[in-house]
Amino acid sequence: MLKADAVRAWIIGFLVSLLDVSESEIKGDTRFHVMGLNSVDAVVMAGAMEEHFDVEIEATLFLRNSTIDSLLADMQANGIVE
Amino acid sequence: MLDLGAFNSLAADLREDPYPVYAALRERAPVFWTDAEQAWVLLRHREVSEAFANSSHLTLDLGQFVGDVARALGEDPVELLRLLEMVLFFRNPPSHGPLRSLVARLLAFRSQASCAAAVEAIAERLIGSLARDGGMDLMTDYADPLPPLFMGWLFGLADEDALWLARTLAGVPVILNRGCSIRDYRAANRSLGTAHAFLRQRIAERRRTPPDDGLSLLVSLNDAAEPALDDERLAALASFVFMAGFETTSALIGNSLWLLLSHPDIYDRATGNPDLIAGAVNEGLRLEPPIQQVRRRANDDHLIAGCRIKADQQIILMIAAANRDPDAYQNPDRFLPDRVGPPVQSFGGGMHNCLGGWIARLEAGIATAAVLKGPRPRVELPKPVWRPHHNQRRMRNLPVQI
Repeated sequence: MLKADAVRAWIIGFLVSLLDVSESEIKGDTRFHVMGLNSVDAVVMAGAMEEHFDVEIEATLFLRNSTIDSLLADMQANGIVE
Repeated sequence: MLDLGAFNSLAADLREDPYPVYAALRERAPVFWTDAEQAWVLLRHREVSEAFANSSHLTLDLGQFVGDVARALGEDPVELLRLLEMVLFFRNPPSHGPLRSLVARLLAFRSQASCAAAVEAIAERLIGSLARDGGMDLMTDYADPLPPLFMGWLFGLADEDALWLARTLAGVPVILNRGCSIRDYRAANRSLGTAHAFLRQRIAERRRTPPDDGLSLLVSLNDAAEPALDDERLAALASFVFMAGFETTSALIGNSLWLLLSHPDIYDRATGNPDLIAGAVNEGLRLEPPIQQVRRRANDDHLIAGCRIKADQQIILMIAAANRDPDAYQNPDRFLPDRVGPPVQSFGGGMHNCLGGWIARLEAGIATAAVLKGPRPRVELPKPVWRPHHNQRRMRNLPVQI
């Protein structure tokens, strides 16, 4: 299982590189769509995360959760994150 | 208290039984905006049926979406993009009309009576194993193979080729669900590559010596059209029609049988009663629609039930909720095959109204009647096990014993 801190750091890093936002603007409860993440980005992000961590991650996780905190909680509930 | 803005139809806890949540939401706000899905949600029969009929609501183009994802990754899933170009319900005017007319003519190739006779022969053959073996899986050995065998008959394919094509294409419709992964797109592209190569060969054969079959008709109609589709696209169109003809119909057959088998009193009354069987299929469509929702994009600003919809905003037409609207159907959650009510929304409406709806009803009615001819089987399952997709209401298995 993945470490929650590592996953959180990777998500923030990915969002910073993909979207026009700085790390300080990304909080655990900031909504993805407010940051400018669209559904194409969500699918691409899930794919990138799969490759980085070498686990299967459904893109639906990124579409059914609107913040990093709820995403991580969902991944914990699904046994992906500790 | 339900938070409307946070409502998300992809939530995992909605997969097993979404209907009580839709009922609670419908009571509170039949039309509302959700931030989580960035879309308006319509839950009542009235607004959903009006939205289907509203030609200023455009369909979303999944091909555009997949193309955007592919470009971001530097990939070119050519067979998948070709398929999506041919999927009628993702096409808006002007490209929608000519494609739809081609498919409509293919589906009308054989008379309704000969279609019924073909379905009956297939159903009788498949259900034979129930009496012979004393049990069977009514999904995997009946509802799943019946529609592809029928589509194979219509196209003029050998039974084993039709079943092979169905197996090859089986995972592809997963891509119609929001939130599927790049893995799913890549797998679909590979499967389509195999299926399209097979169909291109069959198309080439028909051009040389056309037998009297649906695929030959499709080839000749297309060749006479201006402009005609190239063979790559024609094969993609054929694979779209084949898929559209089996995934949802298999789901409908299974869902109708499940509802009947779990209501033994109605099951016994329906035996030999074609009207009640047609009613049971209609209730199957209403209570467990194989496609639970569709999305549209507003072309202009307008009002829906007093809510201001802005141009370009997306709208979710929640078929699964509209079909259980108490303003449209009394006792909406009950399976009542002799009920009279407004049309179910499961086949959509307006310009994207499902072209094969009559075939789906015909197959499900005949498939149900064929099961009902024998002794009533016992279901070996306490409740349905649904596939885990938010937009496909289809069981995995339906094991029964006699």
